Amino acid sequence: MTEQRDGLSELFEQYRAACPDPEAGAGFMPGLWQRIETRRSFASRIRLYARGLVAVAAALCLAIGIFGFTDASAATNPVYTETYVEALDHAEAPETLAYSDVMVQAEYFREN
Amino acid sequence: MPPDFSLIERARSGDDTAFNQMVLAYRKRILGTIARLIGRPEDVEDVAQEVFLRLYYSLEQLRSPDVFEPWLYRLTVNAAYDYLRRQKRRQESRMADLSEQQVMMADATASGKSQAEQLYHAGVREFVHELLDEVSEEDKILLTLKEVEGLSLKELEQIYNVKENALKVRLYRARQRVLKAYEQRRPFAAGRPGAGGPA
Repeated sequence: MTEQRDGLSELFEQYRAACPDPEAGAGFMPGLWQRIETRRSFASRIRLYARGLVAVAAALCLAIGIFGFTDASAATNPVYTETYVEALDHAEAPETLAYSDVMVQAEYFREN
Repeated sequence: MPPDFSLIERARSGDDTAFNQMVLAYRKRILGTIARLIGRPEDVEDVAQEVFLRLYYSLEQLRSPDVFEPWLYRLTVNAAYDYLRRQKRRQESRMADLSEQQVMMADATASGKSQAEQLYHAGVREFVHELLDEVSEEDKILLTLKEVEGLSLKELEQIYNVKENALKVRLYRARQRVLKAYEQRRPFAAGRPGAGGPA
């Protein structure tokens, strides 16, 4: 792929000559600084909102944490003292009751 | 003009005066490159401001002042590319505007420059833009940087972060496509650019 010299190269040279570096207008630098300032204030506003959001999120986390803690301490409340499995474990099954009835009757007949 | 490393270093550390000086030092060159890349004089300053705005907010990411110029060119290429894509989306037809020749004629009347010379240059610009429309925006930019701006493959490699061979292949293909369009139009372009200077 060697460097080609053809009509196109000549045309591009002419194009270069036909498009000299333009001079910046009088408003170029003030316009640029205005855009920089606009973006800077926008960025600082976004940063401010972000900080506010972080604060709200932290407060929410704290509130949820506190609620969780008080909820756990509510487990000592007499109304709710055990889990379902614990309740099942502690409850007397009907067959156990039937068995104890039979035992009571057997005891009675043995004595009499 | 070699880059002023101390100026770049000061601007990088947040010195606005140094940044201002840096813009003053580079703006003419950047304006020229953008003018040749986008081909619409009325939007050149806007795109150049965008380049320097991006420069301002990304200067602290610059690894070393040695790579400042390729980096500035990369920002320029990206801004020009964004502009060209936006233009394509808007599908603004050049036909809807005053033709460049009409604008140049008005300019020539206003300025003291020879009207024939102005018209000739306007013709060259329009013809080259027509030819470059044959390739994608990416290739148009690449070809302009190589052929018009005169950047070396080494410089392009730094700007694009692409291996030299890949660039050569891409440039070759883009150039062939533009050359084909040029060859096709040449018979109909008697007296048009490429066949000599202004009358």
